[in-house]
Amino acid sequence: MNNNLNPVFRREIITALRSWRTFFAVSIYVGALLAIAALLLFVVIRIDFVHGFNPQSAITVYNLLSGIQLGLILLLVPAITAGQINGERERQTLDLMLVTKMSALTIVTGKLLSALMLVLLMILAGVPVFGVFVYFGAVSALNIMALTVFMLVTATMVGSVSILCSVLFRRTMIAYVASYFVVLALLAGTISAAGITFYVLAASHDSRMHLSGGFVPFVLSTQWREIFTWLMSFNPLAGFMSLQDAQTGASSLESFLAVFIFRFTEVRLTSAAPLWLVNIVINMGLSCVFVAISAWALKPARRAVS
Amino acid sequence: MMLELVDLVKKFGRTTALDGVNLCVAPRSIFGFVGPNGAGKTTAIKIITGLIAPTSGGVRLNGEGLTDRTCAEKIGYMPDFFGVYDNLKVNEYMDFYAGTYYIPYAKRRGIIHELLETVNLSDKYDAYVDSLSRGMKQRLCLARSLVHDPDILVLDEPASGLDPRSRVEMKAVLRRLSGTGKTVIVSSHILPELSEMCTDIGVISRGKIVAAGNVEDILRNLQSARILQMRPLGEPDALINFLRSLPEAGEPALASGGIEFSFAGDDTALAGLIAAVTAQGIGITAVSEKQGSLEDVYMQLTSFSGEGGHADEQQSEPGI
Ligand SMILES: Nc1ncnc2c1ncn2[C@@H]1O[C@H](COP(=O)(O)OP(=O)(O)OP(=O)(O)O)[C@@H](O)[C@H]1O
Ligand SMILES: [Mg+2]
Repeated sequence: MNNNLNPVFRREIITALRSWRTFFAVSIYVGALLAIAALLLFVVIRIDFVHGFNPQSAITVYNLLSGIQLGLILLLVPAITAGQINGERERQTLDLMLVTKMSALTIVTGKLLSALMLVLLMILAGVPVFGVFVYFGAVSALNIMALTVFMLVTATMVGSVSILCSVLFRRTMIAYVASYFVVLALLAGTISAAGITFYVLAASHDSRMHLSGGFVPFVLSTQWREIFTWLMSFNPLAGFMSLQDAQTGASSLESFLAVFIFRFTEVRLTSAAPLWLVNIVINMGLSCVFVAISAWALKPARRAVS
Repeated sequence: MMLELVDLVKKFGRTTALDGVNLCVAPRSIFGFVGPNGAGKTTAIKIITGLIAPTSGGVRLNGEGLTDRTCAEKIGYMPDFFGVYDNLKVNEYMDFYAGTYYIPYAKRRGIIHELLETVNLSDKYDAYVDSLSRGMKQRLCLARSLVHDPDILVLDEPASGLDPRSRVEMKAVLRRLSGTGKTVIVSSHILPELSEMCTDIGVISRGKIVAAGNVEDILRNLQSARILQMRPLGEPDALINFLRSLPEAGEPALASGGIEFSFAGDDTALAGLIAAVTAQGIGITAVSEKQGSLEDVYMQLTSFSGEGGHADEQQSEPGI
């Protein structure tokens, strides 16, 4: 066996495979996904039965189902991860690990990986469900691969935020609340921030502008689009929608955002790469940063002067 | 391995847990760290193991400051609790900690068997950790702290919660370990528990070392205030009155064995006292000295060191 396998991860896998909770969680998850898929397909096919089969409706179901999967991940990952370090603290096994040769980074990554293992298991177990849509001709197998990678990276980022919260807040409850707060900030906070900057910029350009509505100076709209794109590259939902749009040829992201505050200007992204790709890269970077901070904060403030 | 604590100070907010602790633990010794609850034992031990940083001062190993590396390699730590995991077997638990020291897989089996043998848990190799009794968990925890063959073993209250038999076994194991060349540091708030086992003790009270050194040395130093018992012939009043007039004798009290009083003086002074008493015409049928047990020494040290208030706390401790 590999001598370099993270000891914490190895131990967690042994206990997880022995625990009924793991199988329970995964089966509940896949069961729920299957039930939702069946329900949606049933509803859509019933409608189609009247109007004739429309491949577009399979795409709609695929979009909805993967959206639900993203939602479940955003809800589940903090629930699984935000208690990891505090769990060791409460069991009083954290000190026992900190005195060993393992670095704090090893402990943090071991804990994060084992939490993500469950999510990975869920995502992979869900792949056959999505396979149905390949069969329906709604999407390609490549689409599903891209979606899976996107979900995994998003899960990793949310997981590393949750681990950081678990390290920083000694009260488990606060760690949970803080993790969900960060998720909420990424989802809704970025959109609100984009809206606020729009009005602030508009006010600085022309005070009458946002009263009269309609007309937006060219400079403002390009300037704002830069900021908007930057903000949206942190938003998992925006990334997800851009992925869906890229896969299905729709423009749900633009129309979704336009519903909010952006009816004054055309919502267009300025990034060279597709937003979901930017999102993946940024989330990988953020994960590394959060894990590094966690390791730094977990390491006991060592020794001193002598 | 020589372990030194140098001017160790640790403050938690306004509480001063350690207030300038200086200690030297000789190689291969069994060092007993004794003090009442809240004295600062656990704090000192956590600083030695590198889990918390001192406010000032430091720890030296063979004259050098501790580093992450030396800490992890040279020191084995058994905390005053035993952290265990659900759904993990004894051998897997040991294997996990062997892994945390990056001991190659090939060597682990042998080490684990040997250590479980040392702590008498060989028959529990395949048992689940959370199914073990408290004493067994404690022994497993000891085996765990030995997995990387440390030179110094630091044990925080290893005997707490153990029945008398398990305590004797624990002591035997520790003595055996010290015999193999390891330095053992044990903390406890029960002194007699350490007295038979330790070569040296350090008594800590409210963050200060009030006595440290060889067990016998400490006892001898304290014999200046010994407790004497005299049994007078007939009524004790004459003897009591006479003793009250002597400045070197403490307040006499009636005890079952006669009159009991503390006496500050060496053997010559004691002989003089006996002569003086008989010269007064008081008949003495017996003179004996109460053996100053380590417990008494401890009580004296930890109660006289502070400004009071602490003594009550110690009285209420279980003692033995
Ligand atoms: N993390 C902490 N935060 C604040 N105060 C602390 C902390 N740890 C210890 N203390 C304080 O430091 C003092 C020494 O505590 P310590 O745990 O070292 O005592 P101890 O000698 O181990 O006692 P016991 O015999 O009860 O285990 C106590 O007054 C305690 O309240
Ligand atoms: Mg303690």
